[in-house]
Amino acid sequence: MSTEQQTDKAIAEFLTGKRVLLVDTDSTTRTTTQRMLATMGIKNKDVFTAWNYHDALHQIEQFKPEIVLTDFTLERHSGIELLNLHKRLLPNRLDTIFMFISSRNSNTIACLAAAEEVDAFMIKPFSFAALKDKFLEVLSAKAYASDYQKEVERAKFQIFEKRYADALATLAHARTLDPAPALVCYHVGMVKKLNGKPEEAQTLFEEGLRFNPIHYRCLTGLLDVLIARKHYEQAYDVAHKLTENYPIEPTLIPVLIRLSISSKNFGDILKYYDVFEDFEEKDVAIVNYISAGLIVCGKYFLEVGRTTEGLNALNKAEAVSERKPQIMKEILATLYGAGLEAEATAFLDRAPAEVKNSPDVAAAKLEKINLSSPPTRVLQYAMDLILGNVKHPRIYQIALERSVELLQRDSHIKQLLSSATAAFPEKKDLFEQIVSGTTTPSGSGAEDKIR
Amino acid sequence: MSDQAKSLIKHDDFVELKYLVVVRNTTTKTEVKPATPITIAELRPKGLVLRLPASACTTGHMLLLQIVPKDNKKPPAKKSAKTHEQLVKEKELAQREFLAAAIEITAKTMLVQLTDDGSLLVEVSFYQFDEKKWRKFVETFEARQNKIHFLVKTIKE
Repeated sequence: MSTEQQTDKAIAEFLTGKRVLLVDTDSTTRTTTQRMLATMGIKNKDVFTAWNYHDALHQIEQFKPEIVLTDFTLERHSGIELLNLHKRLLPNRLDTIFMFISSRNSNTIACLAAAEEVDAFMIKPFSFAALKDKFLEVLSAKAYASDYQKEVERAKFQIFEKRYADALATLAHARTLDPAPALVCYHVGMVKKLNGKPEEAQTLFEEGLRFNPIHYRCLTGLLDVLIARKHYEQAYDVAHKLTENYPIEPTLIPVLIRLSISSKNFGDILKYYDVFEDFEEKDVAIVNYISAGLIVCGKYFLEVGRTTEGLNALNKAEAVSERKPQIMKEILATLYGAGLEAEATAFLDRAPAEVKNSPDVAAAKLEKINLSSPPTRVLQYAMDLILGNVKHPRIYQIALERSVELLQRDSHIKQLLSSATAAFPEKKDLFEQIVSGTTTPSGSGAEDKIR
Repeated sequence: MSDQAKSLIKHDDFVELKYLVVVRNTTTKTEVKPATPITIAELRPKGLVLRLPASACTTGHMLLLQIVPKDNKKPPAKKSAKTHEQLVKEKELAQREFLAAAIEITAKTMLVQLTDDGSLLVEVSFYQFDEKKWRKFVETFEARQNKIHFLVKTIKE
């Protein structure tokens, strides 16, 4: 048997029984891609198509196709959301292929996709041969993965299943299979980080960087750990090294903003917005991260009393997000949290109804009242919201805290606890702790939702 | 802002390569006016596959294509109050800039297929075109593609 025949056999084996999902709003791209798949021997019956994000989401959940080829931008959604779902449902990535065929083609978008472990990122327009070559390359990489790659993938799967001891044993074996196992160092570092050992994680990321001084994952891992350990100057240097060698990944924008704040480089922050503002069309993923970053920035300025700069940052977040409801809610919560009621009211006036009537905004208003009003008024306001069917975990939390504080009847507290637990079962422990008095009442509750 | 911070977020990383396609059917002497922008589905050495609106053409028609490379940067802000003369001059300048940047191609439709969303998948073969300009257009996209392939591979390793 010739080498070519053996190659064909391995690839045919990889493709056996696999289903493919094509997601693209552009029918012409789907046609070209389908033609390419047919030349690879993939039968039409195994190829599903989706026209939009929601259709794709449904098909991935229902059919779990091992191979997905999708556009990056799907209406107001990002293909990254589909990739993350695909990774969750099919965590054995040696057995899957996820490729973007994207009309977006900036380096920063590609970096975001690469960081999320996409297998390939084709940009439109492309030639048929280029598409086929790339698909074949990805296919071959999966069908002929080295022992090192197989072990690393096995360890990733064990980490996914939270079998950390098994993962460490697998990674120890993988380490013996490659002379420069930077990726192994990264994953061992991640296990240490997940187990609450940031110092050991840092050592491992640094070891990985000795094998490859610009190893992307070790750099991002090190950056996270240094920030968590409040070593901001070192973190700033790592961020610099990262962005010198790679395009900025949008998820890092809020991290860089927080880093600029922590390292006292405040002037940087609004410049980040200006860089981005220069573009006519903005990708939804980048918009979200820039908006989140600007809110972090706004919160910081408001906290330190630099109100004008804080409001400026929040206004920019509103503008750049084109009044996206989730961002508007965050801004409102920030304004209420900072006690800027007049600004919050003015902001609310121009907000869409979806925002005005949202539980997030009601909870933010309650936070403000919780800080400045007597407990009886706080409880009354919270109960009015609950009776009006406005459901938010903070509303229940504050209602329970004030009920306990004001020594309300047991029957009232029991009923409140029961409805809180029914509405937010994942917060059951917290609610029960409040009632049993094993938790201290919360203050402003202004925990950073973006973090 | 410190010099170091200047490079943390780089403007060029956000630049998208884009293009605009204008099509005139010279056989029927009509301008193709799509509801959504015309897109290139496939690049070929001396041809293209285009997505055109239904009834834009049939097999054997001659098309005049103008392809203009662009990016996603905002156009510079214009002064608001202008005289009629200034407006005419600006329009002429914009027209000259468009023609200078455009790749003009005379092409023949070789195959026309109706797709499931009602648009046409049109394969065209180039008859007359500026080969240098076309090559540059294709190479720009190829260079970006190669950079992205390298990035994906490097980050995965």
